Amino acid sequence: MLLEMNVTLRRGNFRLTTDLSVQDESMGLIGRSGAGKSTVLGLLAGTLMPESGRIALDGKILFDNGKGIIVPREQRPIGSVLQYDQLPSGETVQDGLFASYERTLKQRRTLKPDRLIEFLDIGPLLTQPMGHLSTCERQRVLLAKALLKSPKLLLLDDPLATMGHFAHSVAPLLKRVQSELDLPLFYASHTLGNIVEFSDKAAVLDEGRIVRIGLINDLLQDPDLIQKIGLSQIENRMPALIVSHNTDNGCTLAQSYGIELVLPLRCDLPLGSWVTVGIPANDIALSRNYIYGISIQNQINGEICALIPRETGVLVQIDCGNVWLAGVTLKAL
Amino acid sequence: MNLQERDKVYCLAKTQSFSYRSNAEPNAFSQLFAKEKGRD
Repeated sequence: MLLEMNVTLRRGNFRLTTDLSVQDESMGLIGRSGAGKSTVLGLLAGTLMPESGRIALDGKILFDNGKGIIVPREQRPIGSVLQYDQLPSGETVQDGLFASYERTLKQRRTLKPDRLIEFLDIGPLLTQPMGHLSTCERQRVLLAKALLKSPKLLLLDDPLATMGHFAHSVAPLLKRVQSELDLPLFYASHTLGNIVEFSDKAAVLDEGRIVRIGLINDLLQDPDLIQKIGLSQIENRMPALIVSHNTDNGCTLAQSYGIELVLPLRCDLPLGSWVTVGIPANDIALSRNYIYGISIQNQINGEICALIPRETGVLVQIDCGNVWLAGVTLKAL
Repeated sequence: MNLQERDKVYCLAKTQSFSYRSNAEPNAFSQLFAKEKGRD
């Protein structure tokens, strides 16, 4: 997949200019609200029209104002779940889903609709009109529609953020689809944890321009860039093995990189299974000494690698076997 | 605290609001794909 996007768009005082070329890569889109993340996705999906420029996917022109080419959304080989997507309110879920599927050439169909409907728990919704869906249901239906198109590129405007508990099962599904089909995915979010599920690379947008593209770990080292990123929450993500459940004291024990983690009881996590645990950086405090007589059960020793200034304080990077991030105020520092 | 690089510290992690996701098993989502890798 080779995506080339060189367009401009002006809406009121907002002006967006992109010069982007991406080959076979998934990418996060990060930036403050209003930086242009959703606009970039809308321009690629075909819900927004650039003023000028060119968008091409694998050499096929999707938009070129010089040549007068505008390929409509449904004909673009791009699947998308956007924040402000309108669904035809009278159409049933089933009709909407199968319209996407039937439009795709048989030899290009990559997924089995019945299994996708089952995995996304859409079955009970099939006879409902699209307009009657809740936000969470709507996001799952939009995702199914996007995937049944067998796209060459998938655009996601943080659907996991509004899927509630379904995010636990939808994220692994998306990761499996991404790897099985080698499907590049663009994921826009304010939550770094959702982006790193799918990509270790991100483009940073600021005031309608892509100001940096790079590995997320590298981007987080740049204090100036951290100011521009506008992430609402930075979360530590770590793989963990579920070791035991103790119903007497209400704890689940897990192991991550040799560290024992004490978690609130989650009996639904099978013993011996691997999970990804997320702990917000702001839920981690620092101490120079081990503290006795405190309710916090996890006290993990490590060494500070870096101090990264943020708008609201400092992000402290600590090597505890793997890297942890702790958010502290300037006063605490 | 006067924290500096290379200082030894303890991370006190509150986990009451931790999030988690099950990692997909290799055989999860079977029968989802029209063609699976290596099964042409």
